[in-house]
Amino acid sequence: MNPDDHPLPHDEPLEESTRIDPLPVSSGDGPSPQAPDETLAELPAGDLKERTGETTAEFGPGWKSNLVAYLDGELSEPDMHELDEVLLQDPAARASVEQLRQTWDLLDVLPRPSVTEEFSAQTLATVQAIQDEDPPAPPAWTGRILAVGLWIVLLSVSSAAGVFVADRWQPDPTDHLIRQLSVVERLEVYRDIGDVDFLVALADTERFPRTDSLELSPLVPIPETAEGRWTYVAKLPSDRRRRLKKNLEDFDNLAGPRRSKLEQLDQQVTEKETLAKIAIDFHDWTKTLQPWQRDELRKQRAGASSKVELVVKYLDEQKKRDDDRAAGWPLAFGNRISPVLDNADFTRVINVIADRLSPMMKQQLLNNDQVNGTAWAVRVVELSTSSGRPRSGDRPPSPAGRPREQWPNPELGRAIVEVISDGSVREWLNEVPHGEPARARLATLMIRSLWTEGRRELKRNEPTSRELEELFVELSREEQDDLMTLPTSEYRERLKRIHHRQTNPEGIAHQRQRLLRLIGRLLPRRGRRNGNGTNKRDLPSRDQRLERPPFRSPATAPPGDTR
Amino acid sequence: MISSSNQFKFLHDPDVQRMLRVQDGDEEAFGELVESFRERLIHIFSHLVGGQDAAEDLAQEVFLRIYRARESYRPTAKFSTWLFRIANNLAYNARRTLGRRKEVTITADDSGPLGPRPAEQLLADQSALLPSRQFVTREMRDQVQEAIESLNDRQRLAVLLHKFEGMSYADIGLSMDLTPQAVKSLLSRARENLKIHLKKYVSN
Repeated sequence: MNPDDHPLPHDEPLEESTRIDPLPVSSGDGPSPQAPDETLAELPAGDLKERTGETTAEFGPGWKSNLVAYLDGELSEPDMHELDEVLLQDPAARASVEQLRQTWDLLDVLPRPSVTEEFSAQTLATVQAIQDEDPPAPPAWTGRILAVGLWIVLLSVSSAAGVFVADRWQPDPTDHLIRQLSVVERLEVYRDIGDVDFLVALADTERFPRTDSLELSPLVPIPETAEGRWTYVAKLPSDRRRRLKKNLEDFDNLAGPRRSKLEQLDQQVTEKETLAKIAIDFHDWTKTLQPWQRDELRKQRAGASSKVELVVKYLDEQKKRDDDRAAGWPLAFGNRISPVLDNADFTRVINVIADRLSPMMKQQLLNNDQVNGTAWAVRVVELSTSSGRPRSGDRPPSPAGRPREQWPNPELGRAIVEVISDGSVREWLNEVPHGEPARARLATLMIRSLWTEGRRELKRNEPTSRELEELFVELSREEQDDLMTLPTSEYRERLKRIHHRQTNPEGIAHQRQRLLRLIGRLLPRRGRRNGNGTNKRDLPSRDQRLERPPFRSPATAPPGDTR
Repeated sequence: MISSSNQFKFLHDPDVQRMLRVQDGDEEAFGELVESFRERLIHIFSHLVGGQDAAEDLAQEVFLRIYRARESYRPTAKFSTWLFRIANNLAYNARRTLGRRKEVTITADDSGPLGPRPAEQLLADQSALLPSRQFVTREMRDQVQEAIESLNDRQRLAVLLHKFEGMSYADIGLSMDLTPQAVKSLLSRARENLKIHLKKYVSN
């Protein structure tokens, strides 16, 4: 037995295993009576120190599992805030959270089982058999012979009658398939949609087809005439024909009203190309959902609008998750805390920062006129953090030099906040909980916005398949051979990188290291330990905390804000 | 002893309502439950015991046990918690009696012992240039699968329930007979193990 395993409750007798009894759930900390080994799972503090530096030592041995619980949203509010603080201060802890998150996301590639309709049919049939658990007593020996004989006669007669009736009255199953070919061929797509009402309601949301799925594979066109359909089926490979047969069986097993709805749906989708696109994209999208989410969608029977509401909710959740993932930024700065500037605000903020650079720095920017887009924004912020000291070339100042001023200075901070039009961002900047310096929030906002803008830019400049193909053809034979040895995903990524390098040598794709350096320069530095072993963090004193946030003044408060 | 408030607490769960209908003899409600949970159960079992057939057999057994237990059913937890608790027990028994018998599953990517045939290879090469194709390679998928298999049984189940069922620590605890604190530790160790196994796919 694995040392981590302990005997699980046996499932015999049956009644015991299937009954839910009130289970002892410990609400507090401390070892679990059921699994004492697991509560000792946390790593020793020494390991934590090594991984995350001195800061983590304050949080004791449970800190490691707290990181996971933090990602899972299972920490209490005070613990969450405490961990936020750590993550703000400690790059190693941030990296650890990010790696855990990425690992978790990797599980999405695990294959999903395909479940046949037969499974349900078999299960329900077995259940039916359970109901008749008491079999009739076997007949006596003579009676049994008589019964068998009678059965043989009955079966023979009924078989002959069945063949006759089937031959005369039963429609040819192939004809049936040909008639229903359109709906049967697309059954997988239609099954999740259910009916026209839902599809129309989905169209009204204007969320489908999604903008990131422009290259939709169209629905298979089904010939209208019977002859065309015969030819279509005849040309299908055997696996497709098997699937078609299975779909037909599934379709026939549906209740009558459900079949009618699917037929109506097929009619609408066939007639309207827009609906077809929405249908196929919705079908593709459902594959991205977790099983329980798909299940929730299937369960929605309160009407099209409720189901659409759920779809929109899942879409929003996915978008938020994708944005955070794209930002490549730990949760501490992601979902819960830091907003991101939209494109217009981002541009205004960068312009404000650029306007306040020294003349010499502005000249440096002008000298590098091939830099544009987010790479230019990164350069502007880099220069802004260098305290106005002249630099040789365009290298950012060394952290080892004269101590820099904290970025941004109050005047720049106020100017930045003034040009941000998004009220929620301004609100967030002025909250300043737990004595966190307002400039730390501004710095976090800037980093996250730069990062996100960079990802957006990469996405905007994503090469098309055609461009990648053309690029591949232009490569040398050696480069082509090298690429062909790579797995598909790496192959594409490598090609994309080559494309970015060729099309924009100074682009954001090469600014990652610069951005990482900026993080260290923009965020408040971690305090050094003093003689008492306590951290002198770069946090304001109690009195400072009680002051108004430095970037907020009556003159800069957003209109209508009465706080 | 079950307090009445505890019973009422879970009556809002639509699956609990279905199970109560099953208790009242509604066969259709049972069909709905099978429909809702079959894919999810088979997914979990396929990672716990390996092999689609074994997973389907166990999933079917779960439903049969639920059906047999319908008369004694009491709604003291979410239905899914109860179901996965039964699944947990069954998987444990299956592993204990059969050992971890791994079955070779043939995926769509497999083309037999000689590898992909030229036409398939060509198709795969061409499809690699299509952006609509999935970027995830078989190699990465296999690595993730191996990483999951490297976990001990309890870690694996906790991960599967949390990741794919969206279950909270408390619900996982109910399904696995653990305290939420123990689930927290279990998941923490599981995720550290996964991180180590998958480090080549995780950026530093």
